[in-house]
Amino acid sequence: MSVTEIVKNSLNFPFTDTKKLLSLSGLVLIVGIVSSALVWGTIWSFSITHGKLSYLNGAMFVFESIIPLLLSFFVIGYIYRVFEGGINENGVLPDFNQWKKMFIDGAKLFILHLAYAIIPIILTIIGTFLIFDISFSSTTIINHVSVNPNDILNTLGGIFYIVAALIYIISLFFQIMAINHMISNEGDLSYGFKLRDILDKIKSIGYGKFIGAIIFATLISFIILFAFAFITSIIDVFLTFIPFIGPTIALIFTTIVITIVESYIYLFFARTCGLLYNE
Amino acid sequence: MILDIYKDSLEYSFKDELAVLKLGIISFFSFLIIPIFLFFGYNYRVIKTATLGMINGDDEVPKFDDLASMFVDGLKVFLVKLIYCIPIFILLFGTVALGSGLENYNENLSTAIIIIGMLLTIIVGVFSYLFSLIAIPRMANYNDSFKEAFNLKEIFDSLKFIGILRYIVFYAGLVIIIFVIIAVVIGIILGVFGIIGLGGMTLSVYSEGLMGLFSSIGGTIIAVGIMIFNLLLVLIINPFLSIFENRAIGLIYEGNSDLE
Repeated sequence: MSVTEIVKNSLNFPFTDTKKLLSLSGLVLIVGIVSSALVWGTIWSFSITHGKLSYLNGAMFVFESIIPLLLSFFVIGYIYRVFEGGINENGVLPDFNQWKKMFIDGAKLFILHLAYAIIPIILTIIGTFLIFDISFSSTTIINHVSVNPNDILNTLGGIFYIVAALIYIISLFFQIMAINHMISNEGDLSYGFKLRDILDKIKSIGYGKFIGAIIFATLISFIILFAFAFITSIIDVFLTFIPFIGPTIALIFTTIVITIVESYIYLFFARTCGLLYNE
Repeated sequence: MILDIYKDSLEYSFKDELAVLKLGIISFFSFLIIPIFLFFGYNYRVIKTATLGMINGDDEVPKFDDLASMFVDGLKVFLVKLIYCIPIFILLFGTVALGSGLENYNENLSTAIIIIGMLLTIIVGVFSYLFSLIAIPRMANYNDSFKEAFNLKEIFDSLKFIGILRYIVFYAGLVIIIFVIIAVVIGIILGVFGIIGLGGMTLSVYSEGLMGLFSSIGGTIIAVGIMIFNLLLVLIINPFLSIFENRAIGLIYEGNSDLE
């Protein structure tokens, strides 16, 4: 298939089973509601103790970071199946069953992503240290050196940031192929790190085609998200004219619409990536 | 041949009034972002039908189905046009930056650079516009391949084959026809409403008691006329003319590939 055909197929794909699209949206919505409830809960628990750390808000803080992540593994696990369907060129949306497997698959994708992100993360940490934490007392050194050493360190820190961002972006392209490669080899995580194989696979598709397809799909995702955010914001303006309950309705409406659009984009993007594998 | 294309394109855009109206509704909602691309995508279908069909053939007006692919095609057309604009922007900004940068250093030099740069921008602009006009039918003809839209050598060959001057004349003719049609519609609608409205206003001068009433009615009639004109422009004239223009652009490209 050409890139255009892949993208067209993927755009229609979420509509092949609207019920499942809505189920995924429901899942995404639950994750969102739980995570924002926990964030508010944490803020509330800190307000009770007047900002001091205690067992309660410490525990809340841990819950707030871990539970949404664990819940989102189900969503990612479903995305995993969409990738799988794309690789095998299945025409229909995968089922919501075998939740345990779905969770484990999601965890695998998370580990893969974390592993690929580790170099950028380290670079970012170093950069942050360079910018914020080390500061020479300028008075002693400035007599001998004409340049303030803090400036040099800050610049260096900035360079670290930029390099980290570049590596991260490049690794995202790589990760897509890594995920595909892993899934097509029965989900064996080690296949996600066979860099040479992955590079060969990208080469066989063609760098231009692969990168072009990903950028094109990203662009489409942005346009769709932007358009719907714009439309809902217009509708929200009118909804807020309803007395008393208007703002609440607007909030609920926006949340639901954007969640569905978000799920649609997940499906669309994962489908595009999966279909690219066998090109 | 050019006249045949004009004639065929005009007839073609009269073929399906419902399609024109649908396209008009899409263009009416184009402030919602996605419909813009649907609009481009539909015009792309018109071009594609034209490149595959023939002059004075009985081509059907494309249908409004498979919106996803219409959207993708529209986005591609938009990107092609955008990329063809890049050289113009670079030249324009380069000229302005260089010119204003040298202003304090040597005024004559900076003026010369700005003049030369502007001339260059105009020439490059005309050519990249011509190229982009050929690029889209070419993309349609070569299996929707995005790459083919930037095959500059082949596009230049097509342009030479049609004849650069001939193409410019053809496109200028197209623009003139479009302007004339819009002018006629403006003339009719604003003429009718304007005369009634102005009549109302003049009447108000002679009838002292009802002066305010008549003059405000006259103003309202003119305002309604302008509104109707705008609505008509967006819903009917604009889509009609875009089908006409794209049909013509598609047909003149076909004239070349047939003989190749």
